[in-house]
Amino acid sequence: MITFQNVTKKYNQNIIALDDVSFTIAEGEFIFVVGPSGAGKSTIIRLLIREELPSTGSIKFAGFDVVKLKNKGLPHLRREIGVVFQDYKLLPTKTVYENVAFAMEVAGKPQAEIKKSVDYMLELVDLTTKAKNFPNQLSGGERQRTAIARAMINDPQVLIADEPTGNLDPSMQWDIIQLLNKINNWGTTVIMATHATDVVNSLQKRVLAIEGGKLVRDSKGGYLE
Amino acid sequence: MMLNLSRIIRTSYLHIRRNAKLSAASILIMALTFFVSSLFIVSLYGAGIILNYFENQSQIIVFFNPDTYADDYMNTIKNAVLAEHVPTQIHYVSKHEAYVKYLTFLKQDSPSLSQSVNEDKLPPSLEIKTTNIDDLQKIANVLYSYQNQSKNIDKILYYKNVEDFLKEFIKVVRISALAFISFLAGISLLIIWITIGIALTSHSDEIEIMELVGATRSFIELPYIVEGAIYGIIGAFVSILMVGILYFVLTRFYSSTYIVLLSYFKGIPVPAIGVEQILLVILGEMVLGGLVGSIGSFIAIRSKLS
Repeated sequence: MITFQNVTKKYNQNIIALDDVSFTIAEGEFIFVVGPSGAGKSTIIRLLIREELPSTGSIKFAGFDVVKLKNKGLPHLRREIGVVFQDYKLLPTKTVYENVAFAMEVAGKPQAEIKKSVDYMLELVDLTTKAKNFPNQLSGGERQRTAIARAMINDPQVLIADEPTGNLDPSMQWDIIQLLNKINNWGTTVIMATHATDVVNSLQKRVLAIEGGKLVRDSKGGYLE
Repeated sequence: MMLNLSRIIRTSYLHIRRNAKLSAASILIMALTFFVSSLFIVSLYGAGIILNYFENQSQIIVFFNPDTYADDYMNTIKNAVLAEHVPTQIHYVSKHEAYVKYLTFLKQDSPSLSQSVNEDKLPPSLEIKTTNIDDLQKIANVLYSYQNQSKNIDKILYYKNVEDFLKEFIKVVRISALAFISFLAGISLLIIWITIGIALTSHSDEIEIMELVGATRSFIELPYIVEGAIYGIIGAFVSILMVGILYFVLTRFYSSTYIVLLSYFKGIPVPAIGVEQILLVILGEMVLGGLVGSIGSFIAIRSKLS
């Protein structure tokens, strides 16, 4: 489903963010991308959603040649990938409902369908009672669940979570991890970049470890193998 | 489609409301541009009518001495003009015809004077028109040479100076209008560019999120383009109101000055302007305003979101 083939990303010819990285992710997998800060985890995510282009190598996702994809095709690629960020990236002037509905409006869905889907999605992430709240009226965990609901509302093939628990206290971290696990059980591929050793250790999923831009490990198990 | 349109207009309206002061500045600059443009266009239109009037009048009138006038001499002059081989129209005005014209004129302005005029005292004349104004001087020279040789020609009226002045006036108005309107249009574009640029900067987070969730370029850009168009349309509309107010003030509170001003152009037929034509001008200005506003927005979007 996702293939990184000899992908290298250099900035200004000197700084190497990713160095000849290759891996494949199958449909329905749950993958942790781990490594210290600046190792290249976020670069993988940015390359996959085509926020950046690799210096060399090829990236394929669900029939898209991400590197050769024209700008016109970019919205279609991004509707197939749900992204959740550490800082949530919610619109502060929109309510929880509007933030989630927004992703469907962007995709040009009719209002009746939007209402039905958003109500259902808010129920899944347990935010029905907070639908009319603004992001600043929510806890960190609730904001992250809103971000997950927005990422999932267009039924993407893959959900990418970039340090989704980074700003949360431990109890909320587990809420989010359980939610991501549930989403994966429904069949959505989940890629999660994280520092959270205990989370990785407890789930015992496939781990891609990145260090200094190189892929140093690709196997199932805990954070340190 | 309707849903998209309503979303675009709603979003544009929200942008305008959130940036109220800057939006007002953009609208007023646009209004000023269109107001000045309107004044220049009206001046050019008026000058065009006056020039056309003078071009359709006799450009040279040769008045013969009523006491020594003879048809033979008039024919000699006529043939001398025709011998120049330039396209001309020559019309002979007899004493009687001149008398009728004179009476008509006097009846309008001083009916009492019309009693004292005698047909015999009025000079017969030749009214000469050319299709090319540059040929006038050649004909005038011929006539002046005859006037110098004989006392049969009493007077030669030559309107070249008036026409030259009008032509020069129109040229100057046209050039200065072009320069001034271009300058103001440039400022309008710049102001809209800055306004939309600020709006784009203040919504950069929103735009980033839109891109991340798969918004198309048009989904992001159209509300901003419409916002610029709204500035232009409202600006053009305000300028029309300003012209209307100016006309109202001039005719209502300065009516005597206005009438004196109009009296200078008495006799010049001004084509009637109907409601349809006025509506067409209003519509045209608003479409143009929308176009200028959209272009300003488009430039801002291209420079900010590239």
